[in-house]
Amino acid sequence: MQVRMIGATDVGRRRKSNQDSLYYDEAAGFGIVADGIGGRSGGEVASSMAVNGLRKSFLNSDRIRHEEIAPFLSSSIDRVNMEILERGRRDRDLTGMGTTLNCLMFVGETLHLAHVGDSRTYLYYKKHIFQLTLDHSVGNFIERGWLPRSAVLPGAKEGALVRAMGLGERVDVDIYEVPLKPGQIFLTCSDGLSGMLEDRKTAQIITENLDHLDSLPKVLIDAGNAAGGRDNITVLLSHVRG
Amino acid sequence: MAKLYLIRRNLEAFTGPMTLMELKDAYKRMQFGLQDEVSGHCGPWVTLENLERVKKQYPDVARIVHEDMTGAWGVATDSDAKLINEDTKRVKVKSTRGVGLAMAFLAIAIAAFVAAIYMANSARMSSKAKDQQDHNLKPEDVQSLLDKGDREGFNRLMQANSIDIVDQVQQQKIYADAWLPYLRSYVFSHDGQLPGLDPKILRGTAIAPVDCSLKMWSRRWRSSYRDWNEFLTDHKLVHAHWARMLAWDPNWIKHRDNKGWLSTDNYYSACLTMAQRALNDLVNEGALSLSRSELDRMGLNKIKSRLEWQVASIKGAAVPDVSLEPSASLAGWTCLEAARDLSSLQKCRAALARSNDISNEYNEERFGWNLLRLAAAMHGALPADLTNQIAQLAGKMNQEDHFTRFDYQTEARLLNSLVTREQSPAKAAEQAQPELSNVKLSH
Repeated sequence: MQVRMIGATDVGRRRKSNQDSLYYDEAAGFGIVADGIGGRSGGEVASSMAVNGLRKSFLNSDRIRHEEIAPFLSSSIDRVNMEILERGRRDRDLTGMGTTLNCLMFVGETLHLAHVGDSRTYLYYKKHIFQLTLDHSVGNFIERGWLPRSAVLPGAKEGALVRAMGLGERVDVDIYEVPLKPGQIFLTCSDGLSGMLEDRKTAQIITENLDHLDSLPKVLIDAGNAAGGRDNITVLLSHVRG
Repeated sequence: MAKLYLIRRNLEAFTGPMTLMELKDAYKRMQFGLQDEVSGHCGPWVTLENLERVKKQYPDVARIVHEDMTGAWGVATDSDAKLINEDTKRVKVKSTRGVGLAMAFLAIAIAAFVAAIYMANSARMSSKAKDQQDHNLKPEDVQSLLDKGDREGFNRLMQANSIDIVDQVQQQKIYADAWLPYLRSYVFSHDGQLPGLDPKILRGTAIAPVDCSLKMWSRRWRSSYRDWNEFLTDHKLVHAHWARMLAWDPNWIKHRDNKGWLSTDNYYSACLTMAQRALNDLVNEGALSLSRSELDRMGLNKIKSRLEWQVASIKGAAVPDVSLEPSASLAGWTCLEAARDLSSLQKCRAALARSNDISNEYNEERFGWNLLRLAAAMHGALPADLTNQIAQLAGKMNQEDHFTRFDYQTEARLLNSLVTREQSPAKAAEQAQPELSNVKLSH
């Protein structure tokens, strides 16, 4: 399968700096979106370390067989997670920094998707949109019974992150496999987009711009900003062709 | 344009997007099961087991998956039962309002009394547990109790410190590696869950349901016992966790390493034990709304025997006698797995049910893996007729059991090596063993 990748990132309308990081290599079928968390410059450093660390792992790896992809993603994310923690321990200004991560690897007829945090990957297909990733948020974990309500501090927000890179030495990564079909569009984005636009609106924008995919990331970012632009917005589109 | 749906399996893989008809077809072909989740356009993910929520969010899917598939067995949903009984209930409430109120007050008083006793006990337990709290507790400390055979002391210490340990396990990998075997052992010697602990951590990389707690198995058995007949008598591979679990091959499990677990424990045996306990509890409490003899007719004993065999076989304990009912898949699989020589294996094969094509093909595959198991244990070169038999089967075998989803890639390499290189089983096993593999083929 051939995959066309197009991405863009924007600071939004309220934030002074962009703590999101984006990398993609269309020829290799590899893309990463990370959304940093942590005051001052911490989030920016964490997301950039995540993206650069994984990019390096990918570029330095030999050809990876299908069954080796999940272990490769897990071990690379583990290693980069430790690097982020170590950096935070060394530099007091960066203590507590972390980042979300969505890493996409297109291999043969399958997308391998590694996910930590609340950045999302959606699947758009024939005017339908599905959220593939499960947000690692307090609300979702309570609903699934993975976190007792009593363990949540009073005042904690439902959307607060339970999992992210840089929060601890252990990072549990969700790794999904998605079978590819021509016509699918994977939209990977930071919560600056998903928090501003209803899924239905996002699907509508994609449907209206199917003939102009190159400009679609910008169109989505503009829509997110028009709806308030409260956070940095990053969009990566991966269009599966025959 | 037709509505499309997507299935998320085990929070790991997807099937679709597909139309309703394609979904129905995929369900029939067991590409997903009731434990999996469905989502529609812009909709939430809903577990198919959660009939009420599926009905609310995706009524078309509910009709196909639940009503079409289970309707023939007369499965009554909660809402169906309410509708049927509505009139009768109303009459009873009107005529017995005074008695009802008195009963309600009595029930509240009893509940308050029971709660008071429970709280008093809990307070005593808490103070006991508090005495054992140790923020510097190390895995060596609990190991020393196990070394002394003090399982009770181990459980008490783990209980008193479980909150700290769970925090450590979820935050720091180094602690997770050190504590997980003890935490798993403690959790599965109780009810298979611990508040605040993500069940995925307990499962690790096992090809098994994410949640194997007593509570979840109780729920699974309650919602499934009316489908036993379809699986046990009609030999259909019912795509649900309980049926898949009964198909788990103990020999496959024994050949996988159990890193992260104590002694011979592993997630599969823990999961089977929880399922066994939950089923026994439900039967003993009469919670399945059928008499014991009715449950026996539905196949309760077949399921219990199978679970007993699987648990004992995985643990290497003395295994129960294997008796074979010619038409029973479960007993047939047990027979194949228990066979210690080729002639017994052939007898099991001959006796296995031949009621439909799906189970025949599947049974042949299971026969093939067991033939390979026996071949691999042989000394010296394989007899030519056995090599030929394996070669014939090789073309029919998949590298993954499509029902249990167990991965037989290493076994398939061994099979290929035996067939193509005409060498001794020991040497073939050595060559088939991939580097850094968690699979041990040698006997």
